[in-house]
Amino acid sequence: MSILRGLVPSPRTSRGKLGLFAFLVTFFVLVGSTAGYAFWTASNSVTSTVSAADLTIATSNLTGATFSNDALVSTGSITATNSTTTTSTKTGTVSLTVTGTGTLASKVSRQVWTTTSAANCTAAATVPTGTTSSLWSTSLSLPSTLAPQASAIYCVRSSIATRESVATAGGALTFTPNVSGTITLGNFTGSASAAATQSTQYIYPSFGTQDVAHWFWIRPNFENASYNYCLDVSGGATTAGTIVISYGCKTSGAINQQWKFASYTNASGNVYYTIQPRNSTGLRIDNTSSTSSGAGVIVDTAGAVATSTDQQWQLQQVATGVFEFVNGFSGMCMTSPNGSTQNLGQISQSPCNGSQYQQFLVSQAFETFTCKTINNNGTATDAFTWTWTAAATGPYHVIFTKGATSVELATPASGSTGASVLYTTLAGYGTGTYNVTFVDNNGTLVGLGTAVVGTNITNSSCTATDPSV
Amino acid sequence: MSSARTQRLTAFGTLCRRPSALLLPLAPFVFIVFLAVTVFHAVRASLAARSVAALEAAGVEQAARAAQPATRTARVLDAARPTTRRVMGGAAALMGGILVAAGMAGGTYAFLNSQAKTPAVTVSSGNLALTVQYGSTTAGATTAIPAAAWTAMLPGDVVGQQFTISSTGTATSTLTARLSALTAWDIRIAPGACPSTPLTTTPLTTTAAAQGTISPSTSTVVCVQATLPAVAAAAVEATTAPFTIIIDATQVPTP
Repeated sequence: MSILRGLVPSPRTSRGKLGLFAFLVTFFVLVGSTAGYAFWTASNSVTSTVSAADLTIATSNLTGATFSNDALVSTGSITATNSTTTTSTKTGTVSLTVTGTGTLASKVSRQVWTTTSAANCTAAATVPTGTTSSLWSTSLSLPSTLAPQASAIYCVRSSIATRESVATAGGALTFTPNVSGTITLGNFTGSASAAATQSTQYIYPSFGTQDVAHWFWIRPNFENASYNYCLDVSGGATTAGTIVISYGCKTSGAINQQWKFASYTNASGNVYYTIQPRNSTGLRIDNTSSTSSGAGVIVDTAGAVATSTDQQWQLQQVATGVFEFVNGFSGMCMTSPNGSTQNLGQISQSPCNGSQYQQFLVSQAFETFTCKTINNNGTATDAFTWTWTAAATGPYHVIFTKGATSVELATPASGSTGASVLYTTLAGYGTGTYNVTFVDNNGTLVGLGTAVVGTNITNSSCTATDPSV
Repeated sequence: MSSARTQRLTAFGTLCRRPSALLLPLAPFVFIVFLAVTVFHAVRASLAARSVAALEAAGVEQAARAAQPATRTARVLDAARPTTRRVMGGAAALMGGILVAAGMAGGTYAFLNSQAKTPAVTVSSGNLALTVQYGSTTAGATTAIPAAAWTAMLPGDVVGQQFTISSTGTATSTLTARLSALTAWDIRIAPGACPSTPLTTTPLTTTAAAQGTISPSTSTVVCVQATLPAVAAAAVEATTAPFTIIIDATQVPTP
């Protein structure tokens, strides 16, 4: 029905629709009869691609360093480069942070200053006035602005105030210097970092309690198949300038192989020693004020203690009874010759390298040395008795040798002033003459003698020989 | 123009300026209205009659009757409903009335006319053609500026490149420019060679912006500057972004 209503027009709606229809027709006819326009159009395009740079920074030339007794200052450099690949000239804001981590960092100070070339950062470079010093363990900020491919170069000087401040039983301390750089331009950033290693080597604690009242043998810390070597005033001369050589440790007349120490505490509170030979007590071991590696060591006239650092030697204890002899002037280690020059070769100085030729044993000499037999009328206490003074490098090894027989029959403790061997004990190995050697704990022959073992103590005897005589 | 033809047109113009002659131009419209109304009602009436017949044939008398006017008022209205005959009659009466009115308005008209052939002429349409060209590349609908022109830019960098727009058509046209898509870079264009300073024009967007007009057979150098804003986001670092400048030309209508 609704369909029919729609199809069969009512009179009222019919007129309305008729009017609307007529209006629309008339409107479109009138509109359509006006002038018409058509517009040409065209469309073109331009294409391309833009790209943004990757802002980058590079840190380089952060050099490592090795400090030793003769080299407590190291000068290196740090270079920060705006490594951005671009044709832009925009500058970035750079912040370098320099710091160090590790035990040694708090013992090494640094001075940083700008320069135009890393090549300027030499040991001879003069630190500009006003340059501050700070420990590596603290953080140092170095701001700058860098155009692409431009660099900021800094000299960095690391310094150790005193060798004593970094001395350690192991001889080495280490820290890691770090430099981290950040470059910023707007919201673009780049960063880089670099690290290196700085360390000490062969710097041992100063031994400040060396005996200064007695004479000592000084010999390099190595054993020879035939015999040991000792520091020796060449030819037993007593004149200034005589070279000090390595020579076989004597069993007699060794007065030119025995030395006495005298301590000196410098302004920093560090102990050094002068060393005088027993055969000429007015002389001192002297490095001739040289800083050259290989420079020979002599005995020279004693100078003013406070100022004659060339005659000052620091005993750095590598191990018990084993020392590096570090010269106060050069910081180098006393060095024994080796190989073909081991015998008669001059003692010299060279940078400490930890070798056995730079390690010396210090053995106290017997200053009085006697022997006697004790006769208690055939009792069990009959004995051979040796006595000495000034014995502090024991325990001693008293060794009796006869033919192929070699036996240690007494081991007096360090600090002992004598040793006894019962007749019955020694006679147990047979009668006859025995050679007796007294070797200290360093292996240094400090005394020798004989023991003649008879059928009883009354026909037995002994001798004691001080090698220095 | 011949004098005879001028005379005839003048006579026609004289006739038209008479008041009664103003109705004559409306005659075609009235006739069209008449035809349209006539056809509409004829079709409608035919459809209605066909529907009623179909219902009756299907035995749906009541529906058929319902489709017929039932009341007196309805019959009166039904009597007034335009049928084909009534419309045709009304239209005829309307046309008659118009003719009578026209006749009464002013006498008899006679139109002078004649024909004359003009010499053969060639009619051709104008055209609008535009090319773009970068450097020594071939001019065409598109041109590409090498990416190397603005590579590895840093915040605050402004890099300009020039290209040429040439109108090879016969119509003056207005130009608009827009980007196909936005990037982190500000893209600006301005006529003329690139200055050493940043352009002060508004950065292009994806909405067309007027860029002036270009006359036929002329060329214009256009500077396009890409600016990496100083505040460009960190995410933009080390990225690339293609862009397309769309240049639309529209013929300037000739009056």
